[in-house]
Amino acid sequence: MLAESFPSMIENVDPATASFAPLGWLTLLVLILVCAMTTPALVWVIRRQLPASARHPIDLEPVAFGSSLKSLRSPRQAVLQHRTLITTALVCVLAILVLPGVSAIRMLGLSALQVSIGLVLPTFVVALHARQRESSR
Amino acid sequence: MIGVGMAILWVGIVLLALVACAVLERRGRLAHSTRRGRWSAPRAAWGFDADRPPVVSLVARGLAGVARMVRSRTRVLDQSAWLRRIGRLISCVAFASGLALIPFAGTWGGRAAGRPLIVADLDHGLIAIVFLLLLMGFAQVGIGLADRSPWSRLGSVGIASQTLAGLGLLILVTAPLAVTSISDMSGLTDRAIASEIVAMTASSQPEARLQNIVAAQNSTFSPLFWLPKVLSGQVFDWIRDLRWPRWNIFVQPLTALLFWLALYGLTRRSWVANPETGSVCLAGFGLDHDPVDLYWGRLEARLARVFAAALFVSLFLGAGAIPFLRIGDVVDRLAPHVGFALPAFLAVGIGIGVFFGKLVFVLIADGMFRRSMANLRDDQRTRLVAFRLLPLAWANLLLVSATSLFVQGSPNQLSQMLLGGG
Repeated sequence: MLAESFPSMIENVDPATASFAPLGWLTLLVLILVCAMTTPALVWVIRRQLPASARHPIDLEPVAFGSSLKSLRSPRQAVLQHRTLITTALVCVLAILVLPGVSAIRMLGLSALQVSIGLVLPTFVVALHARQRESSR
Repeated sequence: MIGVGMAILWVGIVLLALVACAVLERRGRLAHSTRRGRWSAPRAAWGFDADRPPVVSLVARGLAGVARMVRSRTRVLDQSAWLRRIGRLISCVAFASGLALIPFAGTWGGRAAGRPLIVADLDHGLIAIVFLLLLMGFAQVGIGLADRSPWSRLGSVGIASQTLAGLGLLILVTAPLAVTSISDMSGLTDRAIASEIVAMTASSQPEARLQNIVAAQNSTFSPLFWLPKVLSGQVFDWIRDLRWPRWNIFVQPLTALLFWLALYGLTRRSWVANPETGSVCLAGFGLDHDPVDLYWGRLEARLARVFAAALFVSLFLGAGAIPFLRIGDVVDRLAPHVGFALPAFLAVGIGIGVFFGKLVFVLIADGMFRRSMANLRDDQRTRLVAFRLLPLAWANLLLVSATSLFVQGSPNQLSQMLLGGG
């Protein structure tokens, strides 16, 4: 049945344009979630069959850096990680500007530079003016 | 209906790839079990030791894992279980959506410009994948923040930094792919395929469509065409005419390397008991060692690995293409005898089989690469990305853009060079 109907269905699809079928995506999503949930669901069913004393959850204390005050207060690792996070955020922002820039130059050519200067310069002037006013207050 | 059929087929392949991941992890675990130093954590705490080697049988290990999950669960007092569950759900949904975008089954009839067989075909698939990877990073950060332990929080900060660094690198690395997916069509040595693909993409040119990037690889090119005409003789002619598959790994090897590194950063998971290196990480998730949570963590990490490998196969290894063989020609030759549908189905099956073979190969290479990599600190990893890899990616982008502009500027001269003045 599928072997007969599939060729006619596929011939109706235009190869040049992307065709997004939500049903296929939803099917994939549901199938993967069902496959992932099967083992935990089975485990949950089996655990429910155990006596209550055997399936009682075990409470744990949260893990700490250590007992000494120095290890509790040592900020070195956290400071390093915070610095790296800020650095990467700035680098990422710079990198994100590349894609629109490439597409704009491809679409508009060198005139994209004029357009970008026309956008950036007024913003820059207004920001500088606002900063000057803020500092002179 | 086509999407549903493709989804069922793709889920089967993904499940097989997950099993392959588990087998490869087991091989790595057994191969390195006797070489751990005396500073390795004992098995009683973390599950492995040289004196008490890990379980050899994969089935026995899986059954033991299920038995541990049936046992009583552990509960950390100040942990937000809901945040953790939502994080896991978002991560799985993002991975499933990312997998749906990957063209794995080739095209109908095996033609370069045939109807693509994809679960979800988007015009801007590459950009969607970047956003999905960002979502996965957010989900991982949420899982880390669900635990109030400072180690888990530092682990989530580490994941945030590596996700941001990886995304920045990925955007820079995929930009050349998008630039060259259409513009280099004139550089194809096979004129018939070139005209076929150009005709297919002439009406709409979405550079970020994954199917276009895959279709552009279904040909051959001459990597040494640029040898000067002064060098004459049969040997140089042969070298000049030597054709390679036009896979992006050969056309843009630096892009492929950087892409691999970016995906490595994006799919690396910060666990306390890292199964790849067999060491205890400085900061990461899984401190309570709850078996159900460990199951979700492992599943998510394997899904990430399969997703990264499948994306690499599609973008750089020509998806299901066989080198120097156009499966569409075979279908055309068989079509007069047995009709078109049967050879077309056969071509789809062969394409899927080849794709799966490449996927397993990439998973093996990825496992070897991960085991050989040192466990860098977060600031070291960020410095490596910011001061080494990102400048390299910028240089690569400029190089590819300059080549692309040259190809666009003088397609006739280049095609004459490529075809030997033909």
